[in-house]
Amino acid sequence: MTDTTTTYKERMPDALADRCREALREGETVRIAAATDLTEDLRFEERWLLVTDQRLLRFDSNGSGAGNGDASIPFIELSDAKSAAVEELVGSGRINVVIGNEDIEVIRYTPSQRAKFARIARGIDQLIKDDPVDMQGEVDKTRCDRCARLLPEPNGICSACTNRLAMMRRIARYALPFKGKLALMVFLSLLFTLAELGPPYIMGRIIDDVLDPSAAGASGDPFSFLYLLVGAYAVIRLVSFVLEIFKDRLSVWLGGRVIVSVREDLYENLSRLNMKFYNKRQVGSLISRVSNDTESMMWFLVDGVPYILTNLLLLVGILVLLFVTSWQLTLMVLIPIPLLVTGGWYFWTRLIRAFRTKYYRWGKLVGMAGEMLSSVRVVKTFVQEKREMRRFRSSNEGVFRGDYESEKEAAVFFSTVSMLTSSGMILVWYYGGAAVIDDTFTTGALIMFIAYLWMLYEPLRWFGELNTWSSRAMSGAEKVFEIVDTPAETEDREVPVEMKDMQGEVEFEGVTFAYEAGKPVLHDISLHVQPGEMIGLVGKSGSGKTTMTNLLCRFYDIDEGGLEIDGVPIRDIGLEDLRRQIGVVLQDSYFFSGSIAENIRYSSPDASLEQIMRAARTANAHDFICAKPDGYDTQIGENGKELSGGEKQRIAIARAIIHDPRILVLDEATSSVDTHTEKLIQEAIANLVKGRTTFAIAHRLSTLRRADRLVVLDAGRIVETGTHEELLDMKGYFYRMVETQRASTAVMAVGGGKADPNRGANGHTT
Amino acid sequence: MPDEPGVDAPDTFEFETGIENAPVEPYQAHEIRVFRAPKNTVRMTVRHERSYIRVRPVNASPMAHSDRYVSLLDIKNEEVAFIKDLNDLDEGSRQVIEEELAHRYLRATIERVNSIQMEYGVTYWDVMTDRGKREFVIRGHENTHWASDARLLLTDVDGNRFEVVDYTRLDPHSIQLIETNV
Repeated sequence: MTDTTTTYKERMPDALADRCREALREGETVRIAAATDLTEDLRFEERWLLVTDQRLLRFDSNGSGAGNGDASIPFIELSDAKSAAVEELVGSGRINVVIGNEDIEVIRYTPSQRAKFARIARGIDQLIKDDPVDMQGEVDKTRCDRCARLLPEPNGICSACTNRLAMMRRIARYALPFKGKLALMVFLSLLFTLAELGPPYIMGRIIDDVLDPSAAGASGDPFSFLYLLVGAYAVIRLVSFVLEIFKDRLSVWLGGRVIVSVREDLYENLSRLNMKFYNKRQVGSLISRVSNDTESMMWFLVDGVPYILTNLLLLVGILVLLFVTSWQLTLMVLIPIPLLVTGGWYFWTRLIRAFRTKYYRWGKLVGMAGEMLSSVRVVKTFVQEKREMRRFRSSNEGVFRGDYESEKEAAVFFSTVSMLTSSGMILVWYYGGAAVIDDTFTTGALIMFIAYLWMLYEPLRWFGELNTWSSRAMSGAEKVFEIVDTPAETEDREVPVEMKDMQGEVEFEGVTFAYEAGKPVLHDISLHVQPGEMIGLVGKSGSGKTTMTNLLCRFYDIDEGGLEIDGVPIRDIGLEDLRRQIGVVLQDSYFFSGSIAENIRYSSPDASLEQIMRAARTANAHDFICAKPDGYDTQIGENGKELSGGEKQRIAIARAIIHDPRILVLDEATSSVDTHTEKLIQEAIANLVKGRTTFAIAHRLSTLRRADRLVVLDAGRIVETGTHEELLDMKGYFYRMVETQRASTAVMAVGGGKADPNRGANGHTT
Repeated sequence: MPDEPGVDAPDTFEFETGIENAPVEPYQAHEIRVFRAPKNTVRMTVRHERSYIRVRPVNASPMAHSDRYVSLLDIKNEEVAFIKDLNDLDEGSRQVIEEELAHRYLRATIERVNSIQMEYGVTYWDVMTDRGKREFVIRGHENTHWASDARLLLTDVDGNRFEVVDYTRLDPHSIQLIETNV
């Protein structure tokens, strides 16, 4: 560990800090001060844990507590204690200190504080044992810095505080490379707006200057003027038609382009993030970020932004024209607008809620139908059709109710909007009409006015929707950028040590590791492996075998101790160099859709077919591949579903042979296959292992008889190491494992099952 | 604990069920006595003959039957006794087990909902429970589970657990909030 934290102190309320100072002895120093959110009788209240170099104390938030006379637990002298550890319960956890033969509960906490108290318990344990104290580790941020709202996920982004403007700016940055096109689009939108404003004006002129009998005589031949105006009308319509096509095409292109770059960034970062990130998330939710969230962003960019742009321009243009024509009438027209906007806002929030319920219920219905269809065999065998139908019916009913509720709201909303709009119209018709009769306003001007009014109201009624539209896009953008901004955790050192030719010497030195803070899976593992040595890892499930190999591939970083390859700390080796020289063959190998040849050469795309075939021969895979109608060109199907278990394993081995790693990890590479296939796979593995440092995990102990050394793990600790024979002679843990396994497989053999794979295991140790 | 990806896959350790170990029937309520000795350790004796120095009571079905079906596990997490109904135990034993279960399972009962706010797919709750006031965040619909038409089980983003025993019996404000948001 580079930086060590020897104290951990949260800021105490002043009153409490005073009481604590009083409670301290001469020369006693505080090492840990931490607040919990759960009392010893499980109420949600604050308690403070104080750990000094001599004692453990617990206080109420007002300062009373152990060590002050009114003790609820007697304070604990560290010298009385043997050790400290966390105990995870259901819905809460606690720190226990062992005194004598008893666990004494020191403090209780809710799962929200789990990580923090795991570190604190470690610190207390180290203080008790007089070990160097190290409470390093990050405390997750659970509340937003700005608004103190609880975060949807620890260290996540506060949805309420994302700044829309900043988000827009960020999206705009992706559009920068297309500056010219962007400017062109704005320009076209401007022209389009101007063109749109033309027709009502011409309409007014036709009525006033051509059709009005009083004006007709004044301007000479009414027909030539009519032709002129109608001609102008036609030209304007044509121009706006062409402009609209170009403008829309351009916006689709630009929006699409921007999203392509965003998606690219997202995908690139997803492939760089390390395993810890993926452990915490569901694949489904990540896929939805790549597809749904980027899509909602795209629709906003393609439809929303141009819509806002043209309508804002139109709004300004129309208002100016209206004011010029008649400012009195314009003011009248504006009366319903505030109502329209606030009403729209109010209804939309209600509408969204109704729609959300509707979509949720709809999703449930679809899910239920899907579940029923995919498990139709089970439903039929257990004759549960009626119950399924009942479940479906009630869900279906729920969808109807949700539908009805949302449409009810929607109907009210749209009718209200129409009513408000027409109320403006009524005012204009009444006062405008009166003005025409009084001769202070012309008929043409009134018609023009009303035409503009329609154009004005139309976009306004959608403004409420625009808000949801944009917030959906913004929350999509947020989720996307959250991933784009997540740093890849296992990053290379700035100047990684180059290691093109690894020897394959591996050294674990006191390695401790936990997937989840406070629950170590490996304790103090020390193991030295010579280049080319084959190590068999043995132990029950959960004993830490796979975890050891995960650390070797650096899917995770170790918490304590050191892990070196060829004498270089694994963190200092360039990740590419490292992974290029480590090969993994898993029980369940993953394949990509494509041909067998493509899958074998996945790690080295340049390999020729001859090289591929050589690898396949070594892996005992060549024969069955050739026997297939399409040979090496056989399409493997999604995750190799066209292949049998034994075939998959041998292809995986061939893939590892082409990869030519210096260090090899075989995780349960021989799973349940028939004896003949197992022999073929064993041979293939023997070929693969030659000259490589190998870590092999197998539950069937017979598979490991070729191993140079066996390492027996139990509950994350190494309990025995040695050759097969040495371990058997020891008559310890491994001996017992072999004996019990032999007993159970003997039973199977009697029953006519597989041959006993343990027979002869004793004699064949290399 | 849910399986951690990357931790060893469940295996086929056949030798654990070898022939020598015929399945052992766990002791039943009338055969055992449970007490504390010393104060923080739960001890179990069988017909005053055998003693298990440290046992741990766990609930086999903590959500649906929190008052029944209790299993007593030894240090190796192997079942030594199974109690169908706590009333079958003597008074002292029952009390010890009830105390231990109350300590092991923490599920706060919501008594009043102050506010529920839904934003961007997460729900912010502000509630009063039998254990005090609490705010929490729930993500996604899979963490709100209707155990029946009226009983609601919630798990927040950190793994805190909450329960509404019967939402129709809450105050009108809470009922309305739950109906419109859950």
